[in-house]
Amino acid sequence: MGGLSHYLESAGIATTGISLIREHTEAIKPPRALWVPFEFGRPFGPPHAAEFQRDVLRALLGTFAHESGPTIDDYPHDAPAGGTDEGWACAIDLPAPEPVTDLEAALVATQRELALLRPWYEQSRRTRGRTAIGVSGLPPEQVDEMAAVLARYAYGEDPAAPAAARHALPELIRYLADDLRAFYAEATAAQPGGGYPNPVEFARWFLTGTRIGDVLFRVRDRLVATDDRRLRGLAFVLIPRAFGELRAG
Amino acid sequence: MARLSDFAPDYAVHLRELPLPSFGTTPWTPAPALTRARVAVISTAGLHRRGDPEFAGGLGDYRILPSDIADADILMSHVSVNFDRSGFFNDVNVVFPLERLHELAAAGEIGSVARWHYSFMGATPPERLEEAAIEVARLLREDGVDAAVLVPV
Repeated sequence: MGGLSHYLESAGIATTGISLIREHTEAIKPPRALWVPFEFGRPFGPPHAAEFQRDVLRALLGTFAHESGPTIDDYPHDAPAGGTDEGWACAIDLPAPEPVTDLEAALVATQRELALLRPWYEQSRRTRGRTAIGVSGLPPEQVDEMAAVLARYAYGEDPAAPAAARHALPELIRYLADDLRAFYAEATAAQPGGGYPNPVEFARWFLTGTRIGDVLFRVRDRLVATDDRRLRGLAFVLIPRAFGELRAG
Repeated sequence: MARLSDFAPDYAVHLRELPLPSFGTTPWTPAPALTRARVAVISTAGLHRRGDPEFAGGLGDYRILPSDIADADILMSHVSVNFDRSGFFNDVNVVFPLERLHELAAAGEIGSVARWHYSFMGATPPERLEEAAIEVARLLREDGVDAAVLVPV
Protein backbone atom coordinates (compact mmCIF):
# COMPACT_ATOMS: atom_id res chain seq x y z
CA MET A 1 0.00 0.00 0.00
CA GLY A 2 3.01 2.28 0.48
CA GLY A 3 3.28 3.21 -3.18
CA LEU A 4 -0.42 3.95 -3.54
CA SER A 5 -0.56 6.14 -0.43
CA HIS A 6 2.50 8.05 -1.63
CA TYR A 7 1.10 8.75 -5.10
CA LEU A 8 -2.47 9.55 -3.92
CA GLU A 9 -1.36 11.78 -1.05
CA SER A 10 1.07 13.58 -3.36
CA ALA A 11 -1.85 14.20 -5.72
CA GLY A 12 -3.91 15.88 -3.03
CA ILE A 13 -6.01 13.04 -1.63
CA ALA A 14 -5.63 12.54 2.13
CA THR A 15 -4.99 8.85 2.75
CA THR A 16 -4.89 6.42 5.61
CA GLY A 17 -4.37 2.70 5.49
CA ILE A 18 -4.50 -0.56 7.37
CA SER A 19 -1.09 -1.89 8.41
CA LEU A 20 -0.83 -5.67 8.62
CA ILE A 21 2.90 -5.87 9.43
CA ARG A 22 3.95 -3.04 11.69
CA GLU A 23 7.66 -3.24 10.84
CA HIS A 24 6.93 -2.83 7.14
CA THR A 25 4.80 0.26 7.79
CA GLU A 26 7.50 1.72 10.05
CA ALA A 27 9.97 1.33 7.18
CA ILE A 28 7.71 2.63 4.38
CA LYS A 29 6.40 5.63 6.41
CA PRO A 30 3.02 6.28 4.78
CA PRO A 31 1.28 9.45 6.02
CA ARG A 32 -1.21 7.70 8.31
CA ALA A 33 -1.76 4.06 9.26
CA LEU A 34 -3.66 1.88 11.68
CA TRP A 35 -1.86 -1.32 12.63
CA VAL A 36 -4.24 -4.21 13.31
CA PRO A 37 -3.32 -7.50 15.03
CA PHE A 38 -5.37 -9.69 12.68
CA GLU A 39 -4.74 -12.63 10.38
CA PHE A 40 -3.62 -11.90 6.84
CA GLY A 41 -6.74 -11.81 4.69
CA ARG A 42 -8.90 -10.22 7.39
CA PRO A 43 -7.93 -6.53 7.64
CA PHE A 44 -11.28 -5.70 9.29
CA GLY A 45 -11.42 -8.79 11.49
CA PRO A 46 -13.69 -11.81 11.30
CA PRO A 47 -16.68 -12.26 8.98
CA HIS A 48 -20.17 -11.44 10.17
CA ALA A 49 -18.93 -9.18 12.97
CA ALA A 50 -20.42 -5.87 11.86
CA GLU A 51 -19.93 -3.98 15.14
CA PHE A 52 -16.29 -5.05 15.35
CA GLN A 53 -15.71 -4.10 11.69
CA ARG A 54 -17.31 -0.70 12.29
CA ASP A 55 -15.01 -0.15 15.25
CA VAL A 56 -11.94 -0.94 13.14
CA LEU A 57 -13.18 1.41 10.43
CA ARG A 58 -13.81 4.19 12.97
CA ALA A 59 -10.29 3.72 14.33
CA LEU A 60 -8.90 3.85 10.79
CA LEU A 61 -10.82 7.02 9.97
CA GLY A 62 -9.73 8.41 13.34
CA THR A 63 -6.15 8.60 12.07
CA PHE A 64 -7.27 11.53 9.89
CA ALA A 65 -7.32 13.59 13.10
CA HIS A 66 -3.51 13.72 13.17
CA GLU A 67 -2.12 17.07 12.10
CA SER A 68 1.23 15.78 10.91
CA GLY A 69 2.82 12.49 9.96
CA PRO A 70 3.94 9.86 9.40
CA THR A 71 1.82 8.28 12.11
CA ILE A 72 0.96 4.71 13.07
CA ASP A 73 -1.89 4.09 15.50
CA ASP A 74 -2.29 0.64 17.07
CA TYR A 75 -5.72 -0.97 17.10
CA PRO A 76 -6.08 -2.11 20.71
CA HIS A 77 -8.26 -5.22 20.35
CA ASP A 78 -7.58 -8.70 19.05
CA ALA A 79 -10.12 -10.14 16.64
CA PRO A 80 -12.90 -12.16 18.25
CA ALA A 81 -12.11 -15.86 18.03
CA GLY A 82 -13.45 -17.61 14.98
CA GLY A 83 -14.58 -21.22 14.80
CA THR A 84 -15.99 -23.03 17.79
CA ASP A 85 -14.81 -23.14 21.36
CA GLU A 86 -13.84 -26.79 21.01
CA GLY A 87 -12.06 -26.39 17.68
CA TRP A 88 -13.86 -26.63 14.38
CA ALA A 89 -14.48 -29.91 12.59
CA CYS A 90 -16.33 -30.41 9.32
CA ALA A 91 -19.81 -31.66 10.18
CA ILE A 92 -20.00 -33.62 6.95
CA ASP A 93 -18.55 -37.11 7.27
CA LEU A 94 -16.08 -37.00 4.41
CA PRO A 95 -14.23 -40.25 3.69
CA ALA A 96 -10.73 -40.22 5.15
CA PRO A 97 -8.35 -38.92 2.48
CA GLU A 98 -6.34 -42.13 2.21
CA PRO A 99 -3.62 -42.17 -0.41
CA VAL A 100 -4.95 -42.60 -3.93
CA THR A 101 -2.43 -43.58 -6.55
CA ASP A 102 -4.29 -43.53 -9.84
CA LEU A 103 -6.37 -41.04 -11.74
CA GLU A 104 -9.59 -43.00 -11.92
CA ALA A 105 -9.67 -43.49 -8.14
CA ALA A 106 -8.89 -39.79 -7.65
CA LEU A 107 -11.71 -38.76 -9.98
CA VAL A 108 -14.20 -40.98 -8.13
CA ALA A 109 -13.03 -39.73 -4.72
CA THR A 110 -13.15 -36.03 -5.62
CA GLN A 111 -16.58 -36.30 -7.25
CA ARG A 112 -17.93 -38.13 -4.19
CA GLU A 113 -16.48 -35.47 -1.91
CA LEU A 114 -18.05 -32.66 -3.94
CA ALA A 115 -21.40 -34.47 -3.92
CA LEU A 116 -21.31 -34.71 -0.12
CA LEU A 117 -20.55 -31.00 0.25
CA ARG A 118 -22.85 -29.69 -2.49
CA PRO A 119 -26.10 -29.53 -0.44
CA TRP A 120 -24.29 -27.38 2.15
CA TYR A 121 -22.72 -25.19 -0.51
CA GLU A 122 -26.18 -24.63 -2.03
CA GLN A 123 -27.66 -23.88 1.39
CA SER A 124 -24.87 -21.40 2.10
CA ARG A 125 -25.36 -19.72 -1.26
CA ARG A 126 -29.10 -19.35 -0.68
CA THR A 127 -28.59 -18.01 2.84
CA ARG A 128 -25.95 -15.47 1.91
CA GLY A 129 -27.21 -14.62 -1.55
CA ARG A 130 -23.78 -14.80 -3.10
CA THR A 131 -20.91 -17.04 -4.07
CA ALA A 132 -17.27 -16.13 -4.57
CA ILE A 133 -16.93 -18.77 -7.29
CA GLY A 134 -16.31 -17.31 -10.72
CA VAL A 135 -12.71 -16.32 -11.30
CA SER A 136 -12.08 -19.37 -13.50
CA GLY A 137 -15.06 -18.45 -15.68
CA LEU A 138 -16.81 -21.70 -14.82
CA PRO A 139 -20.07 -21.49 -12.88
CA PRO A 140 -20.62 -23.26 -9.54
CA GLU A 141 -22.58 -25.93 -11.39
CA GLN A 142 -19.29 -27.08 -12.93
CA VAL A 143 -17.24 -27.69 -9.78
CA ASP A 144 -17.07 -31.37 -10.78
CA GLU A 145 -15.38 -30.35 -14.02
CA MET A 146 -13.03 -27.97 -12.17
CA ALA A 147 -11.89 -30.78 -9.90
CA ALA A 148 -11.59 -33.24 -12.79
CA VAL A 149 -9.32 -30.89 -14.74
CA LEU A 150 -7.04 -30.48 -11.74
CA ALA A 151 -7.04 -34.23 -11.02
CA ARG A 152 -6.15 -35.05 -14.62
CA TYR A 153 -3.32 -32.54 -14.54
CA ALA A 154 -2.18 -33.88 -11.15
CA TYR A 155 -1.88 -37.39 -12.56
CA GLY A 156 0.13 -36.44 -15.61
CA GLU A 157 -2.46 -35.71 -18.27
CA ASP A 158 -2.72 -32.43 -20.17
CA PRO A 159 -6.46 -31.82 -20.20
CA ALA A 160 -8.13 -29.20 -22.36
CA ALA A 161 -9.59 -26.14 -20.65
CA PRO A 162 -13.39 -26.35 -20.35
CA ALA A 163 -15.29 -24.25 -22.90
CA ALA A 164 -16.38 -21.64 -20.33
CA ALA A 165 -12.89 -21.12 -18.90
CA ARG A 166 -11.51 -17.58 -19.09
CA HIS A 167 -7.92 -18.78 -19.25
CA ALA A 168 -5.91 -21.49 -20.95
CA LEU A 169 -4.05 -24.18 -19.07
CA PRO A 170 -1.79 -24.11 -17.18
CA GLU A 171 -2.68 -20.53 -16.06
CA LEU A 172 -6.22 -21.74 -15.46
CA ILE A 173 -4.95 -23.97 -12.63
CA ARG A 174 -4.73 -21.25 -10.03
CA TYR A 175 -8.18 -19.90 -10.84
CA LEU A 176 -9.69 -23.39 -10.61
CA ALA A 177 -7.96 -23.83 -7.27
CA ASP A 178 -9.39 -20.50 -6.07
CA ASP A 179 -12.91 -21.41 -7.14
CA LEU A 180 -12.73 -24.84 -5.49
CA ARG A 181 -11.36 -23.24 -2.31
CA ALA A 182 -14.41 -20.94 -2.35
CA PHE A 183 -16.74 -23.92 -2.82
CA TYR A 184 -15.28 -25.73 0.19
CA ALA A 185 -15.20 -22.58 2.37
CA GLU A 186 -18.77 -21.67 1.53
CA ALA A 187 -19.93 -25.25 2.17
CA THR A 188 -18.51 -25.04 5.68
CA ALA A 189 -20.38 -21.81 6.39
CA ALA A 190 -23.83 -23.41 6.50
CA GLN A 191 -23.16 -26.71 8.24
CA PRO A 192 -24.92 -27.85 11.40
CA GLY A 193 -23.39 -26.63 14.61
CA GLY A 194 -23.39 -22.96 13.75
CA GLY A 195 -19.64 -22.47 13.86
CA TYR A 196 -17.30 -21.92 10.97
CA PRO A 197 -13.56 -22.49 10.89
CA ASN A 198 -10.96 -19.88 11.69
CA PRO A 199 -8.32 -19.39 8.97
CA VAL A 200 -5.91 -22.03 10.26
CA GLU A 201 -8.65 -24.58 10.84
CA PHE A 202 -10.01 -24.07 7.36
CA ALA A 203 -6.66 -24.24 5.59
CA ARG A 204 -5.61 -27.35 7.48
CA TRP A 205 -8.91 -29.10 6.75
CA PHE A 206 -9.00 -28.06 3.09
CA LEU A 207 -5.44 -29.13 2.38
CA THR A 208 -5.07 -32.23 4.56
CA GLY A 209 -8.60 -33.38 5.29
CA THR A 210 -10.01 -33.48 1.77
CA ARG A 211 -9.35 -35.32 -1.43
CA ILE A 212 -9.11 -32.06 -3.37
CA GLY A 213 -6.30 -30.98 -1.05
CA ASP A 214 -4.34 -34.05 -2.07
CA VAL A 215 -4.99 -33.20 -5.73
CA LEU A 216 -3.60 -29.68 -5.19
CA PHE A 217 -0.43 -31.04 -3.59
CA ARG A 218 0.00 -33.38 -6.58
CA VAL A 219 -0.51 -30.50 -9.02
CA ARG A 220 2.10 -28.51 -7.14
CA ASP A 221 4.53 -31.44 -7.22
CA ARG A 222 4.14 -31.75 -10.99
CA LEU A 223 4.67 -28.02 -11.49
CA VAL A 224 7.81 -27.77 -9.34
CA ALA A 225 9.33 -30.80 -11.11
CA THR A 226 9.46 -29.02 -14.46
CA ASP A 227 12.30 -26.95 -15.89
CA ASP A 228 9.81 -24.23 -16.86
CA ARG A 229 10.29 -21.26 -14.55
CA ARG A 230 6.78 -20.01 -15.27
CA LEU A 231 5.24 -23.33 -14.20
CA ARG A 232 7.36 -23.50 -11.07
CA GLY A 233 6.14 -20.02 -10.17
CA LEU A 234 2.57 -21.20 -10.57
CA ALA A 235 3.23 -23.92 -7.99
CA PHE A 236 3.71 -21.31 -5.30
CA VAL A 237 0.23 -19.87 -5.70
CA LEU A 238 -1.50 -23.16 -4.94
CA ILE A 239 -0.42 -24.07 -1.40
CA PRO A 240 0.05 -21.44 1.34
CA ARG A 241 3.65 -21.23 2.43
CA ALA A 242 2.74 -22.17 6.02
CA PHE A 243 1.16 -25.43 4.83
CA GLY A 244 3.65 -26.39 2.16
CA GLU A 245 4.98 -29.44 3.97
CA LEU A 246 1.66 -30.91 5.03
CA ARG A 247 0.13 -33.78 3.10
CA ALA A 248 -3.07 -35.73 3.50
CA GLY A 249 -3.13 -39.40 4.46
CA MET B 1 -0.44 -11.34 14.29
CA ALA B 2 1.23 -9.44 12.97
CA ARG B 3 4.62 -8.38 14.05
CA LEU B 4 7.47 -10.25 12.46
CA SER B 5 8.13 -12.04 15.75
CA ASP B 6 4.67 -13.61 15.51
CA PHE B 7 5.54 -15.68 12.45
CA ALA B 8 7.39 -18.95 12.05
CA PRO B 9 11.12 -18.16 11.80
CA ASP B 10 11.56 -18.98 8.10
CA TYR B 11 8.44 -17.02 7.11
CA ALA B 12 9.56 -14.09 9.27
CA VAL B 13 12.88 -14.08 7.40
CA HIS B 14 11.00 -14.10 4.09
CA LEU B 15 8.85 -11.15 5.20
CA ARG B 16 11.81 -9.26 6.64
CA GLU B 17 13.72 -9.60 3.37
CA LEU B 18 10.88 -8.46 1.12
CA PRO B 19 11.94 -5.40 -0.85
CA LEU B 20 10.03 -2.38 0.43
CA PRO B 21 9.45 0.91 -1.37
CA SER B 22 11.44 3.87 -0.13
CA PHE B 23 10.39 7.36 -1.13
CA GLY B 24 12.60 9.37 1.19
CA THR B 25 9.82 11.74 2.19
CA THR B 26 6.24 11.36 3.39
CA PRO B 27 3.78 13.54 1.49
CA TRP B 28 1.02 15.15 3.54
CA THR B 29 -2.38 16.44 2.50
CA PRO B 30 -4.52 17.91 5.29
CA ALA B 31 -7.59 15.73 5.89
CA PRO B 32 -11.10 17.18 5.97
CA ALA B 33 -13.28 16.93 9.06
CA LEU B 34 -14.78 13.44 9.00
CA THR B 35 -18.34 14.72 9.06
CA ARG B 36 -17.66 16.53 5.79
CA ALA B 37 -15.33 13.95 4.21
CA ARG B 38 -16.21 12.07 1.05
CA VAL B 39 -14.51 8.73 1.48
CA ALA B 40 -13.37 6.09 -1.01
CA VAL B 41 -11.94 2.64 -0.39
CA ILE B 42 -8.80 1.59 -2.24
CA SER B 43 -8.18 -2.15 -1.97
CA THR B 44 -5.13 -4.19 -2.92
CA ALA B 45 -6.97 -7.50 -2.51
CA GLY B 46 -7.32 -8.10 -6.24
CA LEU B 47 -11.08 -7.48 -6.10
CA HIS B 48 -13.15 -6.95 -9.21
CA ARG B 49 -16.63 -7.20 -10.57
CA ARG B 50 -17.84 -10.57 -11.82
CA GLY B 51 -17.11 -10.52 -15.53
CA ASP B 52 -14.18 -8.08 -15.26
CA PRO B 53 -10.80 -9.42 -16.35
CA GLU B 54 -9.04 -11.23 -13.51
CA PHE B 55 -5.83 -9.73 -12.15
CA ALA B 56 -2.73 -11.35 -13.58
CA GLY B 57 -0.31 -9.83 -11.10
CA GLY B 58 2.49 -7.31 -11.42
CA LEU B 59 0.88 -5.15 -14.10
CA GLY B 60 -0.16 -2.17 -11.95
CA ASP B 61 -3.67 -2.12 -13.38
CA TYR B 62 -6.83 -1.41 -11.43
CA ARG B 63 -10.52 -2.26 -11.41
CA ILE B 64 -13.53 -0.08 -10.57
CA LEU B 65 -15.99 -1.03 -7.84
CA PRO B 66 -19.14 1.13 -7.86
CA SER B 67 -20.61 2.24 -4.56
CA ASP B 68 -23.85 0.34 -5.13
CA ILE B 69 -22.17 -2.92 -6.11
CA ALA B 70 -23.84 -6.05 -4.74
CA ASP B 71 -21.70 -8.41 -2.69
CA ALA B 72 -22.59 -11.17 -5.12
CA ASP B 73 -20.83 -9.30 -7.91
CA ILE B 74 -17.46 -9.02 -6.13
CA LEU B 75 -14.77 -11.60 -6.86
CA MET B 76 -11.15 -11.87 -5.75
CA SER B 77 -8.32 -12.98 -8.05
CA HIS B 78 -5.30 -12.10 -5.92
CA VAL B 79 -2.26 -14.03 -7.01
CA SER B 80 -1.07 -14.99 -3.51
CA VAL B 81 -2.49 -17.80 -1.40
CA ASN B 82 -0.52 -16.77 1.67
CA PHE B 83 -3.51 -15.14 3.32
CA ASP B 84 -6.89 -16.36 4.45
CA ARG B 85 -9.64 -16.18 1.84
CA SER B 86 -12.35 -17.90 3.87
CA GLY B 87 -13.23 -14.62 5.62
CA PHE B 88 -13.85 -12.90 2.27
CA PHE B 89 -15.80 -15.91 0.98
CA ASN B 90 -18.18 -15.49 3.91
CA ASP B 91 -18.32 -11.68 4.22
CA VAL B 92 -16.98 -9.14 1.73
CA ASN B 93 -16.70 -6.53 4.47
CA VAL B 94 -13.72 -8.40 5.90
CA VAL B 95 -11.62 -6.91 3.09
CA PHE B 96 -13.86 -4.29 1.48
CA PRO B 97 -15.91 -2.52 4.16
CA LEU B 98 -18.31 -0.75 1.84
CA GLU B 99 -21.38 -1.72 3.84
CA ARG B 100 -19.75 -0.43 7.04
CA LEU B 101 -18.81 2.82 5.27
CA HIS B 102 -22.40 3.36 4.12
CA GLU B 103 -23.53 2.79 7.72
CA LEU B 104 -21.18 5.48 9.00
CA ALA B 105 -22.41 7.87 6.31
CA ALA B 106 -26.04 7.17 7.21
CA ALA B 107 -25.20 7.88 10.86
CA GLY B 108 -23.56 11.17 9.91
CA GLU B 109 -20.11 10.07 11.09
CA ILE B 110 -18.65 10.76 7.64
CA GLY B 111 -19.90 13.16 5.00
CA SER B 112 -20.56 10.76 2.14
CA VAL B 113 -19.39 7.63 0.36
CA ALA B 114 -17.60 7.96 -2.98
CA ARG B 115 -19.45 6.86 -6.08
CA TRP B 116 -16.49 4.80 -7.23
CA HIS B 117 -13.93 2.71 -5.33
CA TYR B 118 -10.81 1.09 -6.75
CA SER B 119 -8.93 -2.17 -6.48
CA PHE B 120 -5.36 -3.07 -7.31
CA MET B 121 -3.34 -6.25 -7.07
CA GLY B 122 -1.17 -6.35 -3.97
CA ALA B 123 2.50 -7.23 -4.10
CA THR B 124 2.95 -5.06 -7.20
CA PRO B 125 6.19 -3.08 -7.43
CA PRO B 126 5.27 0.56 -6.63
CA GLU B 127 6.84 1.99 -9.78
CA ARG B 128 4.35 -0.07 -11.80
CA LEU B 129 1.48 1.47 -9.82
CA GLU B 130 2.44 5.10 -10.33
CA GLU B 131 0.70 5.79 -13.64
CA ALA B 132 -2.54 4.12 -12.56
CA ALA B 133 -2.42 5.73 -9.10
CA ILE B 134 -2.09 9.22 -10.59
CA GLU B 135 -5.05 8.46 -12.85
CA VAL B 136 -7.09 7.16 -9.89
CA ALA B 137 -6.24 10.31 -7.90
CA ARG B 138 -7.63 12.41 -10.76
CA LEU B 139 -10.80 10.27 -10.87
CA LEU B 140 -11.21 10.54 -7.09
CA ARG B 141 -10.97 14.32 -7.25
CA GLU B 142 -13.59 14.40 -10.02
CA ASP B 143 -15.84 12.36 -7.72
CA GLY B 144 -15.29 14.93 -4.96
CA VAL B 145 -13.34 12.47 -2.81
CA ASP B 146 -11.00 14.06 -0.29
CA ALA B 147 -10.20 11.06 1.92
CA ALA B 148 -9.21 7.53 0.92
CA VAL B 149 -8.80 4.46 3.09
CA LEU B 150 -6.27 1.99 1.75
CA VAL B 151 -6.90 -1.64 2.60
CA PRO B 152 -4.35 -4.39 2.01
CA VAL B 153 -5.14 -8.06 2.42
